[in-house]
This record gives sequence, C-alpha cells and structure tokens, in this order.
Amino acid sequence: MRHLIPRRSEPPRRATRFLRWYCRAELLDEVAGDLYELFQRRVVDKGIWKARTLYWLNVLMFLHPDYIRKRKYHPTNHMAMFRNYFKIGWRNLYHEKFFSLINLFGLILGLTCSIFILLWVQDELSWDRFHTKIDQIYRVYMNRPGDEGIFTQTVVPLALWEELKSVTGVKYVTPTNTGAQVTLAYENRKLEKSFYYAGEDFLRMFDFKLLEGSLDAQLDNPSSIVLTKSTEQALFGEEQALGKTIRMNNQVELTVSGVVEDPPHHSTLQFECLIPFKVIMSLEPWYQEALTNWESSSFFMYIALEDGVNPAEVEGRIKDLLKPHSEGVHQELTLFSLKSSRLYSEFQNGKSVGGAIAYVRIFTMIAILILALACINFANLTTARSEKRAKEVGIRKTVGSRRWELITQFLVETMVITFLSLVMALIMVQALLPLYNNLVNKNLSVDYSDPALWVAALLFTLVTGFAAGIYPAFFLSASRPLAVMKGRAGKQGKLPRKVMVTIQFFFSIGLMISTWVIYSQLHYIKHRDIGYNKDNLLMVPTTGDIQKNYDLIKHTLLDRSLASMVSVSSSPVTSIQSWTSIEWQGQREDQQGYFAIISAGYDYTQTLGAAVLQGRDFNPNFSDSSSMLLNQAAVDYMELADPIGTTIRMGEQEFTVVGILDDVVMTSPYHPAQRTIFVFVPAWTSDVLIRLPKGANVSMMLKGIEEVFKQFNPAFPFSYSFVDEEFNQKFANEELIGKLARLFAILAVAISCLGLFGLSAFAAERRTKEIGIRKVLGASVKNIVGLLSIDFIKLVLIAFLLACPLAWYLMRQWLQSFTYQVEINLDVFLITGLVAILIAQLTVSWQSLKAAFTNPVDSLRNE
Amino acid sequence: MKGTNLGEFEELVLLTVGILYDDAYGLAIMDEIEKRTGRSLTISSVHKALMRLEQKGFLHSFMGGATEARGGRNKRLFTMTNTGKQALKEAKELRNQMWQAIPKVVWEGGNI
Repeated sequence: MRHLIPRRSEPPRRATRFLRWYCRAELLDEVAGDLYELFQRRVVDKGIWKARTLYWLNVLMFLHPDYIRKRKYHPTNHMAMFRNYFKIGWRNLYHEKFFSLINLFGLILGLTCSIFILLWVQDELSWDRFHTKIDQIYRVYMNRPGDEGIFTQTVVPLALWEELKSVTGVKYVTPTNTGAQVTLAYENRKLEKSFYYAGEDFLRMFDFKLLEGSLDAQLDNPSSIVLTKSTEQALFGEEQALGKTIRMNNQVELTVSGVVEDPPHHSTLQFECLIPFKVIMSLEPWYQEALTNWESSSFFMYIALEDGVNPAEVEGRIKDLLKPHSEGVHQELTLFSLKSSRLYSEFQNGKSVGGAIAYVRIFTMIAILILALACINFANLTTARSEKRAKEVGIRKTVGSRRWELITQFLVETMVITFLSLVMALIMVQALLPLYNNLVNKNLSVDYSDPALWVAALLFTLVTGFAAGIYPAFFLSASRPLAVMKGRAGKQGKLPRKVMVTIQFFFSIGLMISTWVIYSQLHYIKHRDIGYNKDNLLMVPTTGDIQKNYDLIKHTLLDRSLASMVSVSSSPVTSIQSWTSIEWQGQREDQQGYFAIISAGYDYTQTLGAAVLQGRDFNPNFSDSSSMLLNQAAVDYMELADPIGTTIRMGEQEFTVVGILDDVVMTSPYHPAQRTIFVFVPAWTSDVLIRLPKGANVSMMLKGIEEVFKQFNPAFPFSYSFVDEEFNQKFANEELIGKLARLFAILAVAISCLGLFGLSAFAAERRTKEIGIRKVLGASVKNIVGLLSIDFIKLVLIAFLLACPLAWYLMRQWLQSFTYQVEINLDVFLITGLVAILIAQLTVSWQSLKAAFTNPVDSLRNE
Repeated sequence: MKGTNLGEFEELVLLTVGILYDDAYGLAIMDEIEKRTGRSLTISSVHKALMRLEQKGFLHSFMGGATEARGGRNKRLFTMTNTGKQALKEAKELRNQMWQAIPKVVWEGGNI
C-alpha cells in the first residue's frame, strides 16, 4: 500500500543547494532542518507554490556574515596541486620514455606539418594586403558574350582611362600593360628588365614606397622612368641614380625620376621598373591611337574608390561605358576587388566561381586532418596505457580528488606535452623552411616578433592539447577506485581505440589514393600528344634589329650548323597572343567564334615538328602574302569538307587556304588545341624558333647562337627560353599540388604508423606472459606474429574498404574538371591497399617479432 | 565581553527557551513566541538572536533529535546557562524596582 501514501513534497532543490554552498557547515544542519520543517508545514497550510517561494526567501534571509562560510579558513591548494600535476606528468614522461617519445614525435610531426601548411595558406591569403587602400582598389573587367555563356576578360580598352577619371566616386585610375621586358642601358651596362607602363596615379594608388624622388608629377613625364631599388643597384652600383639618364630599348633617353622599393613577393604586380604611358605614346603611334580605340582590349585597368563609396554604385555608373562604342555586341564593365583577383580568378558566365582558393581550402582541411591524426595517436596511446595510470587515479580518488580535478590534471599534462611539441615543431619548421620554400617556390618565413604569432601558438597549443587530451582525461578519470585496486581495469575503451586506428588509416589510405590519381593525371596530360616536338626547341624574342636581320641570322645559324631548322612566328609556341574573327563561304550564324591568329615564317611546321595533313606549308617558291593555313581544329569548327582552296575573308583582305596543319597545343595542355589560322606576314614577328641539331651539346650550341645574335643585334642582350621548360611551366600549379599532396600523404601514413607502432608495442607487452606460455606449449614464431598482427591488419583492411569508394568518388569529381581525364584503374586501389597493409604489417611486425623471439623463460620467470 | 544587557527580543527568546525546557530549538521557539505575542517572526531573526545569546553566554546548545519531519537533520537544542538565568532574574528585578518607583497616583488616573 506504500504507493498510496502521498509523496512528501521536497523544498526547491536549487535553494537547498545554494544554502549548502554558502552556509557554515556547523550551522547547516539546524538551519536546513528548521527550514525543512517550516516548509512541510507551509505546504499543508498555504500550498506548494507559496511554500516554495517562502523557502527561497528564508534561504536568502540567512545570508548574513555570521552564517556565511569563511572561505579563508579552508586554504585551497590549487598551486600545490598544479605543481603536483607537472611533477607527476614529468615523471610519467620520463618513466615511459619509449611511449613518450612516440607521443611527442607524433605530435611534433603533426604540428610541423600543419604549421607548414598554415604558413602557405597564410601567405596565399596575404597577397596584396600590404596596400593600405586594398579595400578600395578594384580591377575593371569586361563581360562579353563568348562561346559558352558570358566570358569575363581581364583586359579592357585603353580608351576607358579618360572616361573612368571623370566617374564620381573614383579617386585614382591607372591602366598598365600586361607586362613585358625592356632593355635598359647605362654607360656600358645593359639589362633586360620587366616593366609596366603606368599612369600617373600608379604610385598613389598602390603602396610601393617611393625611396627617392617626389610623388608629385611622378610617371607624368614623357622622358622619365622609375626604377626599383634592385634595378637601381644593378644598373648604377653605388652611384646615385636619381636624375641620371638611361637608354631604353636603344630608342630613347629617359631620366630616372624616382626609385621605389622592390615589390614584395606577395604582390601580384611584379616589376623592375615603371615607365610612364606618355613615354610610349610619344614613341609608338599605336599607343596614341589606343587612347581612342574602343575595339582593342589589351590593358589592365585599376581604380581606387573614394573613401566610403559603395563599389556597387560605381559599378552601376561604369557598367555601360562601352555601350556607345560597341554596336550589336553586349559588353559590360564590372568591378572586381584586387583583394580577390588572385584567389578567385575563375569566371563562369560572368560570375566568379573560385579558383586557387579551392586549394587553400583543401590544404587547410588537410592541415586540420593531419593534426587530428596526431591527436588520435596521442589519445590512443594514452588510453591504451591507462592501466598504468589507473592505480594513481584510484589513489587520488580515494584521498578525495574530484572528477574534474583529475580531468584538469590530465589536460594540464597534455597541454605541457603539446607545448613542448610546439616548441620543437617551431624549431623543425625553422630548420626545414628553406627546403619547404624550395618545394612550394615561395619565400615564407616565421616572424617571431609578431605577437599574433604567439597568440596563435598559444591557441594552437590549447586547441591541440584539448583535442588530444579530452578523451584520455575523461577515460582515465572515469575508472572506479575499487575496480582499479582489484586490478580489473584497462579492459574498457578497446572499441574506441580500434575505431580511431581505423579512422587514421582511412584518411591515410584516402590520401594515398588521391595522390596517386593526381600524379597519374599529371603524367597523362604531360605525355598526351601535343602535336609537335617540344624538346631541343629554342625561342628567342625578336628584340631590336632581329626582325630586320632575320634572314641573315637564319642563314648564319644554319651555315654554322648551330640549328637544324629555323623559323619565326608572331607568338611563342607556348601561348597565343592574338585573336580574330573571320568570314567564309557557308558560315552559319552560330559560327561567330574567334580564331587564334599566328603569323608564321617559312619552315614553321618543320621547325616545330608538326605534321602537314593536307596541302603545303608556306614556301618561298610561291607568293604567300594572301595564303592561309588552318589547323585541324579550325577545319572541324568551320565544318569544311574540302578546305584547300577555300576563300576566307579577314577584315578587308581575302585569303586562300593552302594547307591544313595538325593540331598543335599552344595554350593550356588540359584543353584541346585552339582553332588557329596561320598567315604569312614577315613584318609581324615575336619569336625566332630554333631547332637544335640532334645530339648536340646544348651549352656549346647556345654559346654559338649567342655570338650570332650579338653580331646582328648588338644593342640588346641575348635572351632565350626553351620550349619544353615553358611548357612545363604550365604544370607548375598542378605539380605543386601533387608534390604537396604526396608529402602530406607520406606524413599521414607516417603518423598513423607511429600510432600503430606504439599500440602494437603495448599489445605485445601486455601479452608477454601469454606468448611465453604459447611458446612453451609449442607455438612457432610465425603463429605468434600472426596472432599479434591480425587484430591490427583487420583494422587497416576495414579502413581500406571504407576509403576506396570515398576516394574514388572525390577523385572522379576532381577529374571532371579536366577535358582529358586519366582512367582510374582498379590497380590504383589494389596496389594502395597492398602497400598500406604491407606498411602496417611491417610496423606491427617489429614488436611482434621481438615478442615472439623472447625466450619464454625470461617472460615467465618472475611471478 | 560584549554588553550583557538583554534586548527586548532577546529577553523574549530567552524566556521562551525556559518555557520549552527540553525541546527549545529555533522553529519551536519561533512558534512559541508567535503564539504568545501574536507577532509574526522570521526564522532567521530567531536564529540570529539565539546565536547572539549563545555568544553572550546566556545559552548553551547541543545537537540532537533528528526526525523525518526535519528531513533527517539535527536540531540545535538550547538550554539556559546560569548566567542566562541570572540575567533574566536581574532583568525582572530591574523591572520590579522600576514598577515600584512609579507613584501610585499615576495608576489612579489623576491628571496634572
């Protein structure tokens, strides 16, 4: 009948707890007792709610100095406890040297690796941020209809310059060219330097510090030039450059009006000197005309907004500036922040769709992942060894440690270890930085004087220490003293440990597979048929008198057998610089796309090693001034059944197709060859192409070639580039990604193996007696190694089975972005799996073998 | 020693401790005073008075008498010390003397 008795109401628990918290212990009982009695009486008299309220009131009314616990009479020993934590932590580290080393080493590896990645990420994110007005600087881009939706181009007409100046909200405007080389001569020194043509606002808009000269009227003078510090030193040595005159391109004398700092390495604008637009306008009429030419887009345009102006408003004002000058075609100007122009450089249908930022994100993820792997290692090893610490925990609990005190203890221990690792990781970073810089081709450094670094380091320690320590802390502090003392602990927590090992190998195997696919894709693209032979092919830009003396140069080179073939063209083999639209018989409405146009000299195809599919190459035996060659891609686009003899109109002129060339990949090797037309215009050249004789000594040849060019072009230094090197440049990005992915995959595997190594050592140690008995009973070394390994190998196998589909899916996604994709073969997975299992087996074997070879007498003797 | 004179409320409490004799603890004392005087008290004021009286040496206390009605908690039971009794007597004496010092005419209602 017990359940029929109404339950006693209890006073509000919080109030009682509060009372218990503040009230002096010796007074607590009487007060609490009286209040309780009073409460029960009130429940009957006045109802539960009133009783509860009054109870609260009463509790509060006892808040009187006489009743409040005097805390100073209970000295807390936090400091002493912390000191004790450090001491015990240190003893543990010292006592268990082997495991401490593995733990430390894992963390150091993880931290070093993450620091490296984060350095790279930070550098990527810091580009151009040194400009104080960076938030107000925008680039002017142009959206126009293209083959696939709206095409965004970064070059705009120079004629916009004047117009933009008068737009309200715009403070500074400066165009630049897209970058080129110029020859500077002072006395007998001659140097080839990169430069920009710049407007007078350039130095006001950008923060390239002017070291000498005054900002007023800088870059506004038709006979002046601004040098960077290093150019000044290269050209003038110790001499003062300001006010001195140098000769540009053997054409004109310019006075040095200023010297600026070298552009920082994380500036997208890189130059060695700045030349006012006025200089080139007075030299070349084409530039003067460009000021009013709305047809041709060849210049970058930067603007800086007035303070507090909304860029969207300005964009609205400039959007249609091109409209009055372009009939029919719908072209719009758009603003794009300089801040984003590097990492978000890909456009689709007029909208930015990311770009290199994807790699920044991926690598940040990988940094976190690797750190997570290291933390998992730590957690695994620490919990595995919990048996060793369980007695300590038991005793601490028995003498009165509370749970959170134990958790604090273990967290403090982990923090100390993490901090130690961080310090060592920073040392490692410092030592390996040159190697890493070399790898990523950057000039990264750690600025130790930056307080932000130390705040970050502290945060890093806290976060990592917390991530690594929280699970062990809870795990270890949970053991019950009684069970521990009776020796019944350490059995729990096996499953989480297994799960964590599986996760580690899951990531490692995933990274391995991804790396492999990235590499095979790169290899595939690099070795795809590009339509010509890129080896032993030299390009020499046609500076100064080269174009004039081209025939002489060609014959001299051939006579001295410095070349097996020589030709000339209007663009380097590895890029396309001009585009045009053409008309032909039977052209449809939807065939309005642009064609690449190249002027080629005689022997062009033979020099390149490209095949002539139909007809002939340009030939001195014919008059070729109105002949035209097409490549196969152009023929396919135009859908010509019988291309030879077709008449093609370009502007006012008519051409006849005389030959079809095989496709030559000149722009992106990831894409099919551009549709291209070749014309024969001897006055339009940019590069001499020189095919070196087979098996020749390259450096000897280069020396000879240099002499020839010196002879026919004395005013300019000899400069050249190899086509295969230029071609490989196109892979720089992907190559870097591949290299980094490989490095991180290796590290991930190493960290995971380190953990496995520790765990297997621990397993072997725990089972020493078992192994001894097994051996006595006749087990072979093989049996025992198998016994100890199988547990771990199973986990790796599971990880492998889980990682395969995910890696396959992600890599398929990545490959989707390429026109030419490598097939992902089954053997990628099989070999990776085998390698992973082999590595795991080797790692485990070390300990297993050691255990298996121990003489059972030694392991069983002491009991 | 802090002033040994008795305040009015203290005197009431002390008297009540005497009345309740063997079950004089905070809540019972409060009930008794409320019953006799009709005043409404708070439990904390009674406790504080008891504490003061103990400090002055008028009361002696010991723990005991946990019941379920108190949630299993002990009471602090108070008894009077000799000093306490003495103090009460003195207070009564003082009063009596002062009573007698009042001229009879006051009670007989004569106005000046």
